[in-house]
Amino acid sequence: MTTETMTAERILAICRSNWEYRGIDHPAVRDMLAELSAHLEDAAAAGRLPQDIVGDDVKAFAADWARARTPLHRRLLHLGLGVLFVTGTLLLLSHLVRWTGVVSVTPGRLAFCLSVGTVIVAVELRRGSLSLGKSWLVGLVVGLPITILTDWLAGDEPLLRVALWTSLLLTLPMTAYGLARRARTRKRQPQAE
Amino acid sequence: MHRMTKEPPTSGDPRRSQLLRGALDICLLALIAERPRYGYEFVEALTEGGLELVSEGSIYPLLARMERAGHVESFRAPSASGGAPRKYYRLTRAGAAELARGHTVWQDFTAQVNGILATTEQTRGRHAHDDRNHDGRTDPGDLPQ
Repeated sequence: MTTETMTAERILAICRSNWEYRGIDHPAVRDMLAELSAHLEDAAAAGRLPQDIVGDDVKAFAADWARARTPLHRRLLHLGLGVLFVTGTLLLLSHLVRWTGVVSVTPGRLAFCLSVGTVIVAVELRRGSLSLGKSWLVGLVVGLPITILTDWLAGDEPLLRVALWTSLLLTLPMTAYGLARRARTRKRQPQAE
Repeated sequence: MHRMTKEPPTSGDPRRSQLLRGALDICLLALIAERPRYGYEFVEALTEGGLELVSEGSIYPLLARMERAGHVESFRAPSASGGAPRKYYRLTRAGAAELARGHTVWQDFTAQVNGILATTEQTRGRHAHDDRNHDGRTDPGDLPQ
């Protein structure tokens, strides 16, 4: 789909996905989306197309803005903490579902998570956020065959065993980072007012 | 690379795009120095001044860089046209100094370019005149019978 035929909503969805996956924090993403959305509305009222605002390549536009908005080291930090948080949350869910203090990570389960994660990120960067139903569909269509194939090729011997405290520990850095950011934002708001 | 400026309708010269890319930050600082503005107002002011951008949104990465550099700061306020509050940009003291520096550099640069173009144009004119005289002497058709 070219930018010419895209709606403003689709452009905002693609920008949101790109900014989130590029490690821009949520308050900044909201701020950028509000600014872009207002511009798209003003331009539409003046009879201009979304393409006039974001150009031919909406992903390049989003990437350029992300680079300008947040320095690389902060984006990498945010992205790294996000990956740890998602991994920890998935492991905690496994602990909960199996009601066990130790989760075994087999090649098949690892391949499932990596393949589904890669496809979802790739699709969302191009087309905007996927709905829950479509994410399940990706899991079925992509993840299941890869899991079965990996189990068949590599066996189901566990690669590693993860204790509950390790899973909890993985979620802590992002939680602490988020709380610290929220406290800093609240501290700044009264000053700004 | 994200394209920044529209091909000008009159000349279709990509050089205009490159020149605008180099001067867009000074233009934005100058517009903010006039009064605080939000994104769409910059585009309107640039268009009124004869500078049309290929992708209007290309001002946002630039504004973000200027905000990070401390040249501008932003605040939210309702717009005159109504709707949701807009993100306005205003100039900081560092931004005013940057604008003054940028203005001086631009004036010096354009004066130097104009100087070179004017000097070489005179030289080219003289050479053309000499060539015409030279051709006139060698062309037998031009010689008096």
